Amino acid sequence: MINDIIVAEKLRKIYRIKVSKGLFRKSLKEIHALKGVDLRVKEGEIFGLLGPNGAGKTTLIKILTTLLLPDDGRALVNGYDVVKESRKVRASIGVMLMGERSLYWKLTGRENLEYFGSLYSLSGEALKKRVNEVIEFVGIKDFADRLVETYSSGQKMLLAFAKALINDAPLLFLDEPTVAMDPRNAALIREKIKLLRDEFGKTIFLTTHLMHEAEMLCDRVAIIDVGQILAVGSPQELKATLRGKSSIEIDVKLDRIDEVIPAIRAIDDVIDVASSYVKVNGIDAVRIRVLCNSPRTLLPDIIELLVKKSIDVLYVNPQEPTLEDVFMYYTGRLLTEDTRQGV
Amino acid sequence: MLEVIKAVFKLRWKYTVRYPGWAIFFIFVPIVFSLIPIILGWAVAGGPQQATINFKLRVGTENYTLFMILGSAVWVLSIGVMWDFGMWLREEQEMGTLEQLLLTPANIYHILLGSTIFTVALSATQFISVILFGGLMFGFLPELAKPSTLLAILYLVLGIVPLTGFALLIGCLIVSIREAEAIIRLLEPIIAFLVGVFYPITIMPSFVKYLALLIPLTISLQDMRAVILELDYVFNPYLDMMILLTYCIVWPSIAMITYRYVERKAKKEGGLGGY
Repeated sequence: MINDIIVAEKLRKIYRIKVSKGLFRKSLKEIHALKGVDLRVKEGEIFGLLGPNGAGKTTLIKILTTLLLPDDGRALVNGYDVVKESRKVRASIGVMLMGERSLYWKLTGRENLEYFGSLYSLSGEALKKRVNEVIEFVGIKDFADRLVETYSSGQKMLLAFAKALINDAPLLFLDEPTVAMDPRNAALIREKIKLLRDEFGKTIFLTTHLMHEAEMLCDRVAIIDVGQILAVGSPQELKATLRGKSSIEIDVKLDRIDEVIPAIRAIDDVIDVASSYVKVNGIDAVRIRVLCNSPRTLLPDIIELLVKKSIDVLYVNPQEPTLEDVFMYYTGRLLTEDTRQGV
Repeated sequence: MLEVIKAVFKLRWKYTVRYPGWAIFFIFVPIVFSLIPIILGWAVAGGPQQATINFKLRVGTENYTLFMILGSAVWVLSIGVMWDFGMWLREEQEMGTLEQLLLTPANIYHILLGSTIFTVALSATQFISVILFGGLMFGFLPELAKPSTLLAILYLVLGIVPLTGFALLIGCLIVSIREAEAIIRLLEPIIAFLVGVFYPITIMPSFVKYLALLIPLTISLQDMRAVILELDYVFNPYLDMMILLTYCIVWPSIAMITYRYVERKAKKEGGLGGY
């Protein structure tokens, strides 16, 4: 029987921040980072928490790894309560949080691993052996004995990933593990994450805002936005919720875009429209994503509208639904948007 | 526990020796610092001989150089422990590694203890270096080569233990506020003033004197001078030792409770990663 290795029930987190209202006046503003999150992660799966910046991903991971206290609700990790048994939780997890900022730059990679290994009660030969195993597994042997300050960003991220493995924990928390990485190193980390599940039976809880990464890696995905879990399921299950809907991706030159989006939204059959800024062959552009029932009939209408408004179209691509569409369906926005609650 | 302490000590040692430029500052600044009042004393009194007479009259010893260097060495020790420890915490916070330490199952007090031991070892090395170089410059080393120096060292050690608690309290302040460096810079001269670096605390007004006695090294310094230069103790040798022993328990306990409070508050409000 597969057990739930992470259980979160009605988790709430409110940040209270001071807002200046004149020279001496300040008031408290409440930001509801988590609004009653319920979540279960099964042993041996790669579970992805998918959401834009400010959705509550890091808050949730920080509560589950005992760095933050929830205001309400409870969470069990490896069967331990994150508030009452925090040390037992920490001993049973590996964490990659804050990426390259989690390292001592004036130490070598190996020294970093040895130091953190010591904090997990490893010592002597056992520590050296484990450090060598991790270096070998992640593939950082070539630069493990150089000072971290000489590493590239990608190398630092690989070392931060290696650090999360040092205590050989059954459960790994990886917060945006491939952020700011070049495609080659990002692919390497993804490959290792899969290997950790398949060969070593680890459970992996990762956060990402890259939908292709979630689709590629995760057995199950939870979509989180403004502190709420909106949907949970395998990527296939989530895409199936769109039932026959498809999407069209259109890149247009960055010009009079404010007029275009409402106009597209007004066309019959359009379910939702979202946009984000991108660069296409060095040109500043806007990527418009249109969720609809039948792209074949809709596409001519959209093109006609764009031509009428003299908008330069750079690229058009009708697509099968992706997790991006699922996210848009639930939130009305794209994943790339920042949803931090303004102060 | 020992593994964690050893690991933290080793980490801090590596960080320190890989950037050795601070070593020059380390020994000579305290000596230069104590030269200022010595030369000022000569200028005000009208020469070294007159300064000696005046100092003997006011303080009770002719050996003003040993008096000053001892004060200066104790001051750098106290500033060293408080500054170094507090800034280590801030550096860990800024680098992002403080949260990483809190993610491990290691007892945070063992981590703090490892860092404290390193800080004390570094500051004690500085203290000894200042005394040795100062002794060579001013020729007072023979006066330290007597058994009573051991008693003076005991008073110093009894002052250092509560000082570590003091340092953790300042560390708590530093990780909680943005303007940490300004606070430390403000504390430096205040401590120099209260500890009685260049004068005996007996000349202070009563309320300032009692405020100064809350700082453990004030008693240590006064009693070290009493032992080595045969001056007055703060109260008497036994009572002073009892006060220092009480401080050895009280200050670290207050600091540990405060740290727990700060950590819990940070965990409620957003973590120790930011400030």
